[in-house]
Amino acid sequence: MKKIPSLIGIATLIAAACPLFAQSSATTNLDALLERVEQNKILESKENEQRIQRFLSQQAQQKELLAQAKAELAAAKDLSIQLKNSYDENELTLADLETQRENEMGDLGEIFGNVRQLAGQFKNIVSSSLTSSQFPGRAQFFADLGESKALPTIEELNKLWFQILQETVESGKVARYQAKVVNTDGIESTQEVVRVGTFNALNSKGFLDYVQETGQLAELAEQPKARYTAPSIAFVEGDSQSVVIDPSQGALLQAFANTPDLSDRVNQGGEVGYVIISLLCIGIIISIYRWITLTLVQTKMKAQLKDLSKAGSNPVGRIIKVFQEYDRPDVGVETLELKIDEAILKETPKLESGLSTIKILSAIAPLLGLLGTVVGMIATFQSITLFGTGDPKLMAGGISQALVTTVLGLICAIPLVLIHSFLQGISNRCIAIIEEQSAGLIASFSEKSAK
Amino acid sequence: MFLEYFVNLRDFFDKGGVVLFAIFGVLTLMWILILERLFFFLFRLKDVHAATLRDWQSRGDKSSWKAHKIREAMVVTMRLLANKRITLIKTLVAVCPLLGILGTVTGMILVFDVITITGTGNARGMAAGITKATLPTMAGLVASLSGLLCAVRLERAAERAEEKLMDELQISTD
Repeated sequence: MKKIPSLIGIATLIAAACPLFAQSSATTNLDALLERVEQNKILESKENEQRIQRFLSQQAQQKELLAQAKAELAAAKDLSIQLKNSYDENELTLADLETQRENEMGDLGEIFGNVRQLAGQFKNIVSSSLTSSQFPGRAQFFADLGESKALPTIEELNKLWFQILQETVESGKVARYQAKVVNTDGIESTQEVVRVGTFNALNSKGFLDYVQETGQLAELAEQPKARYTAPSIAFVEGDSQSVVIDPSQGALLQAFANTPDLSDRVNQGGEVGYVIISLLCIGIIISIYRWITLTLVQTKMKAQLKDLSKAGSNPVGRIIKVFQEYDRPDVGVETLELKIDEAILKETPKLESGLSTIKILSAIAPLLGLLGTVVGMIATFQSITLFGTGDPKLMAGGISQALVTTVLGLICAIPLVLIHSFLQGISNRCIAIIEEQSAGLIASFSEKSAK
Repeated sequence: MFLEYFVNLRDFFDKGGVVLFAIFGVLTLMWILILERLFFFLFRLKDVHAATLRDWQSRGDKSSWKAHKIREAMVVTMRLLANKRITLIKTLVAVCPLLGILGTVTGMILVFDVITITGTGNARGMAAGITKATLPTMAGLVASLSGLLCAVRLERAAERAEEKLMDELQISTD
């Protein structure tokens, strides 16, 4: 069959190569082609006949093979039925054995369930318990026992019982042992540790924290106040019988470390807080200066009032000088009064200076506190706008500022108000003496000395 | 019985915190000053008044410029004596409510500390801070009120003492 395209190809090749005499030789070529196709057809039919002959001769052989295969199939089916029967029988025996086993096991199944549950629960207790720093690697055993599908062995059951008993006994003991401790710089070292029950562990520096994830003891970043740590350290050194423990197993110690101390509090006040504190400092410096000068003036004046004969360098003394100068028969009473008033007017501002500043500072401090409160509330509301109200800790910064500045304002204002009132009292008395009393006293003195 | 009162008082101070001690100190100081003034007006004033009056009566000259000044000085001496420390009492009266507010704010800081550490769920923890916030306010107001009336009465008494002396020290017109 493949010959036909090649023949046509040859034919076209010839036709293309000899276009000039195509008209005369084309018919003869096509006839030759036709003839050759005819011959090929005869050849093919011969081959076909041969093939059919071959198939017919093999037919008997094929029938034989078919019979053989059918026999094999029948044998296999027989075997299948046989095996199925034996499977069913085995199934029944298995069910029998199962019920037999269950009858024989009785309540043991429940017990194994309890063992698994107990081991699972105890794993949590052991992994968070302080005793694990003394006996490491116990949690893995409980974890394996709690999760295993196999029946626990007698050894495992005994170990479970022993470990639970050990935990119970150890939780009631004060134990000294060597353990790895991570200090605040992250450096690990083995040192003597005292464990008080399951409450707290201590070393010579103070309380330790049990880190559950690593199973190690770590020094606290911030120890509680000395009055709590001092007896405990003495206990570790063996100098004391009393010890302070944290019954919440570390939570209170953490809370102590998180509680802000005085400097933290002051820092929470922010810029406004510092301004208020500097105002208080300025006010106190002015107050101390004014108090010293006023007391000096007051004592000098009192001494002067007792002895009016010698005019000293103090307000009353200066008024006496004026009086002595103008208390003459040739000077009129009006002139004397005018001169004295003039001298008094010169003295009063010196006595009152600085007091109004203290008063203003005492008035400004609560106002600044209020300013800080509002600034803090703005910060709070900004954080609410950004993060919502979900986390109270985010809002705490602004609220602390608000409250701390108010406190600082009051702490600044209260002493300044008291100091101002005290100093104002002294200065008012001095002014009353020089304005109203001194003239009269000097007059009566001059009357007496004239007699 | 006194022990019982003492225990109650100690509980009160424990609940209110440090600010209560400050209020208590201010209150004690205030009442010491008030009692001292009361003692002065009840017992000492009469003597001072009589002595000043005697001094004035014993004078021959009651009309010159010097006499006027001497009379003025006598009145002022009396005023200084009578008004001594009354301003301080009034200041202490004013300071008490301020201390109360201070206690309120420190109490609120405690409340927010509790919120920071344990969240808003711990009402019991917050209640301690709220007690510390409210007790000083109340104590401050009570302390202030207890002194306020006395301060006003003392001021009036001082004024009256001065006016009475001024009336009785008569200037002769001749």
